[in-house]
Amino acid sequence: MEPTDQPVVSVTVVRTGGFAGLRREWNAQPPEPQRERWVMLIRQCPWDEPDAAAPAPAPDRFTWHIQAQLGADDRSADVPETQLHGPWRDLVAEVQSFEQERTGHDPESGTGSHPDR
Amino acid sequence: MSYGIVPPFLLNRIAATDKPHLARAAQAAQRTLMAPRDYSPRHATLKLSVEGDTLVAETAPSPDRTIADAHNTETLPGDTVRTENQEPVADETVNQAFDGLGETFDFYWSAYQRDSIDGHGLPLDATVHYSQDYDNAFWNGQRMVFGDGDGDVFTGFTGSLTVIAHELTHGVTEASGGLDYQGQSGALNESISDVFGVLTEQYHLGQTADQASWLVGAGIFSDQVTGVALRSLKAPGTAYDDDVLGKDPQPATMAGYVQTTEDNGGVHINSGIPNHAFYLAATAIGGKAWETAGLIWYKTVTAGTLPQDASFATFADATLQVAQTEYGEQSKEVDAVRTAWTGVGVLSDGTD
Repeated sequence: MEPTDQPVVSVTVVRTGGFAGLRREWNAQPPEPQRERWVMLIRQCPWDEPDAAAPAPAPDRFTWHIQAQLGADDRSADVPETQLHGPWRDLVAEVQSFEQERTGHDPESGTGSHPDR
Repeated sequence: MSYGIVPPFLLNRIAATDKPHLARAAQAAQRTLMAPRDYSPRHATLKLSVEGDTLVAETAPSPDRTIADAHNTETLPGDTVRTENQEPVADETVNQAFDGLGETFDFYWSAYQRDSIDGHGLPLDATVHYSQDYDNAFWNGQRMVFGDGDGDVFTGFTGSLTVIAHELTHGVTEASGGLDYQGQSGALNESISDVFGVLTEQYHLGQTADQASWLVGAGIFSDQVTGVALRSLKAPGTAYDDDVLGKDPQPATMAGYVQTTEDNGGVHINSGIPNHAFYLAATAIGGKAWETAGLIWYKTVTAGTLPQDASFATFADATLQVAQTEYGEQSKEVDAVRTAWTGVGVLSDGTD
């Protein structure tokens, strides 16, 4: 169990689509000393921006489902590959790196932390 | 195109005439000839043969390809590395992309007299070495873009003709009116790309329906992956079963239709259903699949009458209509198409 005075920080990234249509998932549950940095990474993402300006889905591009938990606060967003820039891209790369460092390899792909994998 | 419908040699003859009743036409021809024209050449192949005492010249369009290299960045288009009339270069990825584009162009022209993606000779542009370890290939509306793969799961995409033809077919679908890339219409969009992806390969290899593998993306997995390809039209759900990638999730029939919000509503999953319907129709008809079942699907897609949000059943009805028009209501082709769609549960028995 997590100590009650420290909010749980957990991020899950799911990539679907692409020509191959393969589903890939990466997770991060950073320990307490790293949490402040992770909270910043999560909060800088534009979770609440309306996606009215989002382009229509493009054939064979990736789609990203990103879910973050900060204590009792759950948030999620669907981000098309063409919109995965800036803080979104940083967060995805950090989650992939976290899993790679924790396990010594990326269990989903056996590859590194580039967000386009 | 800057050339008018009246060829220049005819205009010259009209302009030079001294027949009084053609004076106005001569003046018009002179003005037409003097009008500035942009020079925009089109590539074509010229085939000469002798039939009896007659020299026969036939022309056919040929592709206009340009391959660029993004040098592992995400900047498009990248540096041009090979154009249409240039010899192969040292980078085999470039040559594979060039050849795949040409084979797909050749298929669409030979099978359906379609001149490139838009039917009007659209130049075929591609970029290779996009991004780093990028596990994807896509058509972005203007060009084909190829990643290199990560080396562990995928070894690259340019070596697979089914991948290249799949992507270019997204352009054909778009040019024909488009199908929304979501839910059933999105799965149809994917299926059409898979169907013409495998047909391009079958045409290139000269295979009949019973000889073909019906696989999409054979040979793009690394040796570490347990699987033969990405998708199988013959047996959806059996293309791979790997401890890292999991099992091929495609259903073959409506009983296995997957409701999901991922992948734009499972467009790469539920495409297995119309994929298998095509396989069933093509193998029931027999022979070369692009000539009959492929023609029915091609005419259905390019008729310009499909709604963008077409459901599987709407598309199935449209293929039946085309088959009836092409082959007659009592034909074995209509029977095969109807049996295929009922076989995968899209149409019920007795539905036209």
